[in-house]
Amino acid sequence: MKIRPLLVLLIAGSALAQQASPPPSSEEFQRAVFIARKFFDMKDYAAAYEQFVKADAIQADQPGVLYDMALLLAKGGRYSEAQTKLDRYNQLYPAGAEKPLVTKLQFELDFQRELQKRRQEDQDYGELFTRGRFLYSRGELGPALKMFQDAEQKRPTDSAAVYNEAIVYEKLGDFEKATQRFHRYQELESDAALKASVDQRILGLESELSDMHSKIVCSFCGLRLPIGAAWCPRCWHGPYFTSSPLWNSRPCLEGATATRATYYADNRFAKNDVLPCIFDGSMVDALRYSPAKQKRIQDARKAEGWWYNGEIIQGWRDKQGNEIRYVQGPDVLEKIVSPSGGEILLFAAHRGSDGNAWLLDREDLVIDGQKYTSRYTFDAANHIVQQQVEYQNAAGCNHIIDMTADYVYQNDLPTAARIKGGYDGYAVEGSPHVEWQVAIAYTYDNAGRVAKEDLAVTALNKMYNAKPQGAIREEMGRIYPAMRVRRPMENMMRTGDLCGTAGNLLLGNPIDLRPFYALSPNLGVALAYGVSRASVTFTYPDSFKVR
Amino acid sequence: MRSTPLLVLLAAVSSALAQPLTCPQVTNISGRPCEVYHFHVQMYRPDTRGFADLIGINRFASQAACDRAREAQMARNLAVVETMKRVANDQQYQPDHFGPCHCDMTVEKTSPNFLTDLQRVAQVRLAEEVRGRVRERLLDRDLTSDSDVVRGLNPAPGFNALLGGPRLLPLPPAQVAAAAAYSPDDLKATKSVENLSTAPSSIDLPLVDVSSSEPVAVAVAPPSAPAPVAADVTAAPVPASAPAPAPAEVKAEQSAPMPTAEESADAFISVETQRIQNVLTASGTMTDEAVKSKILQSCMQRIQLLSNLRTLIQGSGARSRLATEARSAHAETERLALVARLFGRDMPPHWAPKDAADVILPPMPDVDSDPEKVLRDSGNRFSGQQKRRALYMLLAQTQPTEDQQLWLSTVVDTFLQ
Repeated sequence: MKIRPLLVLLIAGSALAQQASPPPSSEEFQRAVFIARKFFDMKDYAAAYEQFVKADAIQADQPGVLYDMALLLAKGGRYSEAQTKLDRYNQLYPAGAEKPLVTKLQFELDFQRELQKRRQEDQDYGELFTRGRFLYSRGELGPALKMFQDAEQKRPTDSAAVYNEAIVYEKLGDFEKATQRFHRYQELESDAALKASVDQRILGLESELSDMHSKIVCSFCGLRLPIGAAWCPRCWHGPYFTSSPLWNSRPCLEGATATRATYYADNRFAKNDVLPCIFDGSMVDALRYSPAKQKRIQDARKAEGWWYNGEIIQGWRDKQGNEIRYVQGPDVLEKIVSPSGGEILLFAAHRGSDGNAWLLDREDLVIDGQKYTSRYTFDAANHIVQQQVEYQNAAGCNHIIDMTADYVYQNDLPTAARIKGGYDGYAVEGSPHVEWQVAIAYTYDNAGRVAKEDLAVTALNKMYNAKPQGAIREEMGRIYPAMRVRRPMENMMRTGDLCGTAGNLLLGNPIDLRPFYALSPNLGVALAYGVSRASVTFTYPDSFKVR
Repeated sequence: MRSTPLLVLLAAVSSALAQPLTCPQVTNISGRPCEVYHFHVQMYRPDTRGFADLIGINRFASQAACDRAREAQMARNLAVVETMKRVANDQQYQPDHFGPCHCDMTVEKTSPNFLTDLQRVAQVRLAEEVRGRVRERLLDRDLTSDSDVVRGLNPAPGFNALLGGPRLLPLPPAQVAAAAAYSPDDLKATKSVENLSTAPSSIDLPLVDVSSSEPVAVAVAPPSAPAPVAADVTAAPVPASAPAPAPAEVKAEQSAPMPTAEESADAFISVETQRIQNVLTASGTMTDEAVKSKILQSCMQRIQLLSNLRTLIQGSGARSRLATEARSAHAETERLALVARLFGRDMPPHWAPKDAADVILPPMPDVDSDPEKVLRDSGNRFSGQQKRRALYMLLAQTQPTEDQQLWLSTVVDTFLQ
């Protein structure tokens, strides 16, 4: 620190000495300057500079040479070196004759510095776009969004950054933010055509936003359904009773459980079934429409071999030529046929009283290889009040079994169900007549969530109207040794309804409640022989709400 | 349904063999494609030694599926017949009669074969009654209840598994979206940087003479304070009296009676270079990046133009009309008048902008897209003003070759006449 003033003095002294020294007069010096000038005129600035370097070596720090070298360095793009020369000039000749030109050159260098700075800023800014596009192409939407947000922060009026944010938000499924960004883009974009080009996009997003608030998707085919729809009218999957506590009784949430305990007729415990959860959170939230969710479902189906016409599922086929065709009517799926297998499933429906949802009047359904035909009756509030089911039990003795369920509601909630079933057997087996009855009761907690479902077989009666014929009598005798004609069979609750044998296997007609799937997902089971009671208990996290 | 419709059963049995094994054609549906196929069966009853006529116990979506099911049922029936003849020595046991697969008219209300739901159930019950009798006979002949022949009486219906899936499915798991779904072409490139990287850079200053024995006193007037240029339209405009950059006075060489072409050029170009520096300085305070970028681009073009104009003045010679005009244009009005004559009447407000943004020229696509073509137009397709604009654009955007410079000197001379 102490020696700095001394250095300044020495330099100043040296400068004064140079100013006082005689001008360059050597021939070599003159020659170098002359050649430099010639090269300059030829716009060969590099060669001109070399000559001035020579001249400077002969007569160091001549003011004109310093300026000329600075100019040539600047013309060659070597701005920092040019600045050094100018600094040297200003240090030695603060009031030199070249000062006006030096000042101009200084302006030029300042400008070039500004330009470099701007170029660097532009380069950094452009880099944000390059990285954003790269991340976007890799599907890294979050980081890509950050790049364009940074760009917007740097240059808030650049419409491209805002547009790209909108695109990323759209891909992320955040349509509200995407719409907001597209609107901002329109404010910033001066080109009328470009501005108008996003109008349609905004309209589409707003329509999607509206659907996201008011619609759900069919979890099988992905069709958009109004909230409150019972079934999907294009594939008849469902039901989508989104406000039903019964259909919200098995959320996939920490603290939510559903356990079904079954008991034999003598009150012995049979077994516990832990029922798997169905949807993340409430049904309406899980199924709430979003384009991404719809696409996810459709993609999953397409991967299985299903095909669509627009949003409507049309059928399935595999490489072996197996095929299922959905025969779609103007509004609903009317029939499912399998040209390869020959199966035909029929459906009939009507529009619900709210004019929104389609309600099944009749459906054919197949559960574990067994076909059922179901007919529904609804009340004015679109509740199922009765369901009639008919099927021929191919897993038993081919009896044609009828079942009828009557449902009771209070305050919009199902509280009870009575299901009756039975059949008349065939003459060769002694014309058996069977009747059974099941009662189901639903209990709710204070939060309106279903707390318990209790099922009880209240009656199971069987009576043979005649003696079985020939060899069948012997078969029946092995099954029911105490059988008496025209007398009610004893212990039916304990044994269940048996009707024949297949080797050592006993055939029969269990109480099959599986077709009554629409009311509740928890008791749609075929009761094992001897089971006469079932109870499903539920727990929920405190925060869980159905509606 | 539980009350057996005995009458239907008896009627069906008694009419066995009297019925044809196909449905009669219904005229009003002829030509319509068949949607449901079936086949009739006359089932042999071992108890009565008669046949039960059954037309509503099967239904298929296609002829092929119907044919397959029919052949399988015939094979199973033949196995029963063969067993009864071989094991029970019942040589009178008859096989069932199977009709061909055809369009099912039992679903057509106008057909005499139409069956109501009740009648259809009765048919199924009748078939089961007959099968039960056959089963009894087989068991009576000591066939076990799980033997192929007995089980073949009631084969389990085969359903496509996809028809029997659950009615309420969980949502499929979220998958990682394919990268192809995110094309970078979806995104826009920023326009605020696209022109800057190619903007020309030109430093238009002369060398100083270092050949004299004294330090060179360059006869350039000290630069006047740069004329303020408003940054944007909202800023206060420059007063009309604001000084424009002062022209440099070129020191006349002792031996030359008139200024050289270089000096003439420098007199005009240096002032204009300063002017454009002022514009750039003023634009530095602007906030709108898009406008700022356009100003910078316009300034770069102007610098390029000034460099080319200097070359033209020098190339034209000191006595040329261009050099003379450039040399004598001292006052601001004289300079702008020269600019108007060279580059058009619309040019002065952009040449000497009151606001920095005014330096941006309004687009003139017809001219700007190919200015050389406009300038070389020998007909009257383009007006004189358009040609002057073309001269500006050509000098601002290109670096003319020597041949072009010669031609341009002529063009400029014409404009100045």
